[in-house]
Amino acid sequence: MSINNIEEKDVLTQAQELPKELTPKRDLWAGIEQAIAKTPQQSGYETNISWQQFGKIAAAFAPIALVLGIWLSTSNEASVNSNWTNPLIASYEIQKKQLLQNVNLEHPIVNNWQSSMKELELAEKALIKALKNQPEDPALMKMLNQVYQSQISLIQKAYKPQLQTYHQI
Amino acid sequence: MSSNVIAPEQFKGQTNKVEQDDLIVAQLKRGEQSALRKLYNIHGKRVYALSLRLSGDREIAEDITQEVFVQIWQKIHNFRGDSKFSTWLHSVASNVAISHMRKQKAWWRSWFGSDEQNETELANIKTDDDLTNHDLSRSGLDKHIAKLPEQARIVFVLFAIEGWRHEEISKELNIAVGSSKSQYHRAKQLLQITINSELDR
Repeated sequence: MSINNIEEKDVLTQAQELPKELTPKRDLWAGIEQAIAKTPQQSGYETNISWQQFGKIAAAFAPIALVLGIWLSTSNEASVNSNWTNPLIASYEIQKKQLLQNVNLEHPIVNNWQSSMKELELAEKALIKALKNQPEDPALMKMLNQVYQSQISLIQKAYKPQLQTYHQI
Repeated sequence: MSSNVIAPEQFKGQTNKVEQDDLIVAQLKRGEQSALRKLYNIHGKRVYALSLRLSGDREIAEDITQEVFVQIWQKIHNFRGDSKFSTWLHSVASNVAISHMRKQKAWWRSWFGSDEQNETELANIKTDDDLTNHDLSRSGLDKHIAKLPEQARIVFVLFAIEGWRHEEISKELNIAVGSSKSQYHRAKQLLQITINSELDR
């Protein structure tokens, strides 16, 4: 060991003395400017409205779930087996609807979960399309199931603010 | 978040900064895009430093920094002035950074098999030394922080550099307070070992 050896407390001291600002290697403003040109601001009013709209969206799922439920109960076994994705989709749509109905709408959303949901929905669509060509592919089936589970988990997380100071967002 | 002690001569400057932020926030709420540019000029480097230290990767930090300012633009009406604007901004930045990393991790995990395999995959998507050495050349400690395991790094940056409490970190990362403390001690020990081994060379 050298006589220059540092102690744990020195690590903390050094950390507190680190520069608070660092310069990015490239100009980031151009990208921000492009993005905001396409991104409307959310007003506080709109935020409240969107919560009300959530209820409407959840309600809109009800007839779909009902139709799917009727389809499931009336369809014969052969047709269900010939296209296993339909009951899977129906099952997750019902779960999603129930979640959205039961969340506490007074709690603000923490993360930008809608954009994550859009990504997952894109993955869902791509997988369903791929399954039409390869209906029995186990890897695709597994991935579709995982994508649906991620959607459910995302909704569950979106209603649990995790940082007190972020409550205002 | 606990704040650092402010020297008297810094106080006036900080007050001016708060007033400047208030003015910019008002302009942003009126939808003035030029105000976001001003905000970026004032806080961009600070947000980038935080993003870089949390992610340990230059390109990810750049993406996070851009996403932070886009979110500020979108959600400025949700800032009601209950805290200092800079506190809110840093919360948004930390949140975006952690969400960004978590999203990537979750994404990889959902597309690959077991957790063990995923950890290997993730370990392979680590910071490359040349990149961090270049970006963080101002400080030897920064270089070592970038090489810490992800969770230890995030906890260390938030606690030791950003002044968060372990309770706040545990909520943000969805871990127990005890885990936050143990990750912090792990980070400190790892840093001590790596710095000393460098000094011994």
